[in-house]
Amino acid sequence: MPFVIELKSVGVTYPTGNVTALKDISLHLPAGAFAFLVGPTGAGKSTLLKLLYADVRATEGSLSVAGREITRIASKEIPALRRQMGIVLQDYGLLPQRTVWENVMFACEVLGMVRKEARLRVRERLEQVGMLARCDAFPAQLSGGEQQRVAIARALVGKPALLIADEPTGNLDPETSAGIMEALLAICAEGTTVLVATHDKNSVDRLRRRVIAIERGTLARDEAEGAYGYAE
Amino acid sequence: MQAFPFLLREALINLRRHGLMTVAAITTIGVALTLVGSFYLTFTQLRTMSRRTVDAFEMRVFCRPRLSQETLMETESKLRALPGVADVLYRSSEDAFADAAKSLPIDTAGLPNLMPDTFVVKLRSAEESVGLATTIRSWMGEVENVDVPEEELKVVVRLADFIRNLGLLGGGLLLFGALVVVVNTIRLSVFSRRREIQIMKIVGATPGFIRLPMLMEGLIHGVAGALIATLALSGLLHYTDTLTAAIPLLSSYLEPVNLPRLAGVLVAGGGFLGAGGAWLSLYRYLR
Repeated sequence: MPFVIELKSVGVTYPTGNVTALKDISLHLPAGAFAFLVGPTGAGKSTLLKLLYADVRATEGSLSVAGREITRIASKEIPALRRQMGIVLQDYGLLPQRTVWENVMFACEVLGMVRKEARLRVRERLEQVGMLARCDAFPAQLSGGEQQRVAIARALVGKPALLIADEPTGNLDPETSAGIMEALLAICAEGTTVLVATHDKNSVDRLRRRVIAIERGTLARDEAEGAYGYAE
Repeated sequence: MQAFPFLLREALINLRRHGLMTVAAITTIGVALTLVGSFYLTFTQLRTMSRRTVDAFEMRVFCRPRLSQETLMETESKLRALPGVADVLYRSSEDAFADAAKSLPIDTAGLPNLMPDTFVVKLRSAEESVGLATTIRSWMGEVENVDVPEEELKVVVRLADFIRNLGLLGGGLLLFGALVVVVNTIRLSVFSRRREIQIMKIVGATPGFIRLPMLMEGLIHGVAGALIATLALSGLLHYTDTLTAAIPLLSSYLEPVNLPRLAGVLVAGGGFLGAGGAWLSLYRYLR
C-alpha cells in the first residue's frame, strides 16, 4: 500500500536558540488513513504538521508527502506541494474580505480550474459541509463552527490526497466539534488521508482511531485504535 | 501566467473591499504628485523667467571714429566669428544719432553728431559677455569701447543660478519626501494584508499569483492619484492663464505648459510609484 506520509528519523532544530522541536520521528500513513496527532501543548504537533506542508524544514532524516520527496524541497516547489493537500487551521484561515463562496472559489483559482468546473466543485463542497445556504456571507458573519466548515470545504475543493488539520476544533463547543469530526471522517471515507492534531479528548476517545502521540518532540505512542491518554 | 480579466477582477474586488486603505493610498499619491508637480511647474517658470532676463542682455561695441566701410565690415565679420555670439546688428553713427535725438527732449537739429558707429552684439549665453568684452576691447585699432552692464548681469546671473540650485535641492528633497510617504502608505496597505498573504500561501498560491493582483492594485492607486494631481494642477494652470491674460507682460516671461504631456508624465510616474511601491512591500512577504 502506498504511503501518503512517510517520515524516516526526522528531526527539526530551530537555528534560533538551537531549540530541538522534533527528534527521530519515524511514521507512515497509508492512503485513506485517518489519524489523530495528540500530545501536550508545545510537544511538537504543529511543527510536525508544518513539516508536512513545508512551512518548516527537517534538519535530520527524510520525509515524503503524497509521493513527493520534500526533505530538501526548493521554495518554488512549495506551492505545488500545497496544492496537493488541504490544510485546515485552528483560526480557520479564511480571507476576511471574501464571501464564503469566494473563499472556496479562491482555492479553485489557485488550482487553475476552469470556471465551470470550479463552480460545480464549490457548490458540491459547500453542500457537503452544510454551508451552501450561507455562501454569500462574509467570515465575520459566521460562527466559529461555520467558519471551520468553510475552511474544510476550501481544503477539499481540489480533491486532495491528504488533509491536514491543526486543532480544527480548538475554538469550538463539544457539539460543534463532534460535527466537525464527523465531517472529517466522511472525507476520509471518500479516500482522503486525514491527519488531525487535536486536544479534543472526547472525540479521540469516542472515535477510537489511530493515535500518534508526540511528547517533548519525540514519538511517544502510535496506536491503531488509541485513546487520548492525557488529562484534559 | 494569469489572464488579464482575472487580474483586473481580483484587483477591483480588493480595491472595493479594502476601501479605507484604497482611499488613503490614492489620496496620498494624489497629494504627493500635486506637490511635486506644482513645485516643478513653479520652478520651470522661474527658471524660464530668469533665463529670458539673462539672455535679453546685449553688448554694445563702440567703434573708433571715421573707420572705413571696409574696416567696419571686417570688424563685423570678426565679431560674428567669435564663439558665443548669436547675432550682430550694425548701427551707423547716423542711426545712433537719430535714435538719441528721439529720446532727447530738445531740438537736436544743428548739433554735431558725436555718436560712434556701433555694433549691437547678442550672445548665446550672457555669462560669456565679460570674457568676450575683454577680447573685443583688445582690438585697439577698431574698437573704442565695449559697453556691458556687468553689475546688473552679475546679479541676474547669480539669481538664475540660485533659482536653479534651489530647484534642484528643493525638488530633490520634495521628490524624496513624496517617495517615502507614498511607499510607506503602500507598505501599510500591504502590511494590513499580511495574514491574507499568508493564507494564500497556505492554499498553494504561487508568489506570482499573489503578487500580480496586488501590483495591479498598486498601479490603479498610482494612476488614480495621478489623475487627482492632474486635475489639481490643471486648476492651478487655469488660474495662471487668467493671470497672464490680465498682465500681458507676464506672458512674455512664462513658458506655455503642455497639459497633456504633464498628465502623461504624472500618470506614468504615479503608476510606477504605485506598482513599484507594491512590489517593494510585497517582496518581504513573498520571499
